[in-house]
Amino acid sequence: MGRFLLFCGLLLFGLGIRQAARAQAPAPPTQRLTSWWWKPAGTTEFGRPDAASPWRPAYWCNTAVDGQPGPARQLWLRTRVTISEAQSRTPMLLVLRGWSTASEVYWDGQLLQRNGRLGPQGEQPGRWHQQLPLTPAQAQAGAHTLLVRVSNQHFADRPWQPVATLTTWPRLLAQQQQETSSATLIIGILGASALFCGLLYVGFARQRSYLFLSAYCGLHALKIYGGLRGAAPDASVAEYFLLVHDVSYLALLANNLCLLAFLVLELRLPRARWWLTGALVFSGAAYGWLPVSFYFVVFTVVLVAAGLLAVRLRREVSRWALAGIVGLTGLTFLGYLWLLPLGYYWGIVCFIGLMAFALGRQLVQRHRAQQQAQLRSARLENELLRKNIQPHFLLNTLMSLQELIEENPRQANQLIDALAAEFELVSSIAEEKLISIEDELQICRTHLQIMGFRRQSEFVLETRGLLGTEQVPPATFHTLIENGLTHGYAQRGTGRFVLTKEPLGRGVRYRLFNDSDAAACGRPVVEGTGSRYVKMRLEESFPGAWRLRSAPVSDGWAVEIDLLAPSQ
Amino acid sequence: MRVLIVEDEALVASRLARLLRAALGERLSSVVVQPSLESAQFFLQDTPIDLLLLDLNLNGQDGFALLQQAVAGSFHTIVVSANKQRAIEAFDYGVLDFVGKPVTAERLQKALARFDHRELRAAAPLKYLAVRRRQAIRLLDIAEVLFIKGAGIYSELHLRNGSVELHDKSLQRLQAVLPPDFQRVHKSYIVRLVDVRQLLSHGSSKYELELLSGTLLPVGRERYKELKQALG
Repeated sequence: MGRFLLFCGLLLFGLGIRQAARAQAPAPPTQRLTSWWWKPAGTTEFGRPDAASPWRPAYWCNTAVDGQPGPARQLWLRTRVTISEAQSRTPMLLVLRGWSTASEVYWDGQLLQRNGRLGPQGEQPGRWHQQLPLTPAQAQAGAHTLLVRVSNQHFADRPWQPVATLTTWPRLLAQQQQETSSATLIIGILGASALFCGLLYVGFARQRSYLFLSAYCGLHALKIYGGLRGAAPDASVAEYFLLVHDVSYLALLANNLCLLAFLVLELRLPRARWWLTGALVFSGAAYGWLPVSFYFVVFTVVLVAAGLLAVRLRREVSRWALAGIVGLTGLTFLGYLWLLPLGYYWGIVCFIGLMAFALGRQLVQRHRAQQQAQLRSARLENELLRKNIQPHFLLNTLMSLQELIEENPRQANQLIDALAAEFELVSSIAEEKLISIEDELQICRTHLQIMGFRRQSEFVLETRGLLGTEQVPPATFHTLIENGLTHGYAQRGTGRFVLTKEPLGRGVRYRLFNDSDAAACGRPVVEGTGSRYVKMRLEESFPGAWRLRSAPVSDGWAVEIDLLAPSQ
Repeated sequence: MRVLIVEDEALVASRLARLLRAALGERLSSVVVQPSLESAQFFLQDTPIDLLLLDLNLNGQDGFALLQQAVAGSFHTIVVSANKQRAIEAFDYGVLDFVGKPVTAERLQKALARFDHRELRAAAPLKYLAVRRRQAIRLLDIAEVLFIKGAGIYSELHLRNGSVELHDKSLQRLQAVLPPDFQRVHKSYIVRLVDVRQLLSHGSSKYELELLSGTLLPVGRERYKELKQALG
């Protein structure tokens, strides 16, 4: 386990360091262009902004023109680009993404490309991606001015986050290849995980948490695939908004709901319905009103809260789930800072990896527990059958029978009948975990009859408050009666057992009284095989919901068994 | 013969008593049944017996507690039990026989024959001799015993460490349960043959036995030939 975590940690650390080292290189082959200035469209004036100039700093998410909400419909954007001597020796190109709807790009005042047709009248959307090669004359070392005229009449209400990058061809190709291969790898991992969790759902009692985890993995794999298609170089703005924005946002909502449902069900959090209903309402509202980033932050807080609550409630795999959520958040943040490409998806892989490990361990433990339970049941069944063929019981009965055959043949026949009846009854219920108390009482009375013959005594069993349909583990009271006979009736010609049922606040109490001399003998109470058998049977059928007390009372001995109803 | 049956099952006790009467006939002077360990111990305090028939599982109690006490007594013990897997353990303590349930007349007859004929030894040799000491029972490993000297109705166990323990059984009854390498060399002595260094003859039919420890013990005139043959 330690080695696995160390490997994951080193892998992620390596990826982060690699990206950080690239970002901090002195002359980056890829230069993201920032520090944009803007003014409304209508002029082609160039030059540095000053107090008298109408140019103003541009913040992509908060661009407003003269009180207009959202990005301006027609505007100019301008930035300065510095090309070093080293960069100027390599063929360079400008990569523009998301400059919807239509745009014109000017490099040092020279029109490089027209993407679509500018509005407001007759605006035609262009492509989402633009790759604009610069000639060696254009890409000379020194300062350059990049000017973009934008018209966004068609998608004015869409979030607008244009990106401009100055890079080289080899670098662009390498970057695209790396992103595609990483995305493909993640799709493979998530697809396999979805399949595995689906099989777990089918194979393990249709536990719904596995189904939600499967959906979480599968939807993310589809989301990445859709993103790859939407981010294709020839994708239109409409395709991009559909595949990358709308579908992606919806997928994110669905995925996070699946993730929360998985955590709530798997970690058995209280008030599951409230958690899920609240998350559903919030997600619905967020789709209409909140930007993705804000929604993501709020939902991450919800996920961390769920994880912390589970840890506090000491749920199984809760620590692993919390570690996965923290890993997911951390890697997503690295991706947001451009330190780790596809950081969010690597975060999901991290979460899935940790959960797969934790669930795998949990399944192994459950499998072992199940095997032990089966083994215990088999042992109990075996023990029950052995009770009737154990030498002390069987051989003493046979020897008593020898005597009766010679001295009292009529009683000998009765003893044989009772013995056969007990064998038949015990054999018929040995495989059961619960039997009706009526059957149990029949076995008890038959056993008392046999012991009455053997000891030439008279034993009776009285019942109070029983319906006959109550379910009890097989041979529970039979064993307790056998114990009572063994330890308390050495020199007695009669014996009386009374089985009473009383309701409890939460459950029911069975009380078996006998008028034996066990208490008077003053022998120390030692737990024997009979008591252990009864306790194991109770634990098998009512795990953790039973109590057994055995103690002397004023005129005999009493055993009380409380069967507690499961708490709500 | 005075017999005590310790058995908690009424029909089993009844059958044993009936089989005893049939097997011993006139020789059976009394047969008493006690259903528990406590009542049997109480009975034995005041009443001398010759033979004890003991069940090892009495009302959930282990009959070995009584067995250890019984084998230290002057009487012989025959175990009658359904727990045959404990037979070897019972023989370790020096019981005369172990009869498994259900008991047949033939099997009980065979066990009773061992009471009368010391050459019919138990199926397995005993390992311990139980002796009473201050109201308690002490188990002595049979290997610790160097020789046994008769002392009236009791026996003196002379141990390798030089100490002497008194046993409630007579020399004759003790001989019935001792392993075959213990041999009667005199009317008052039983010796373990492996501890004998040499047999000495002083003439005039006077013989002595020298043990490895240097101890000299008298040898009965009528046992000399048998002993010489046994020692090779």
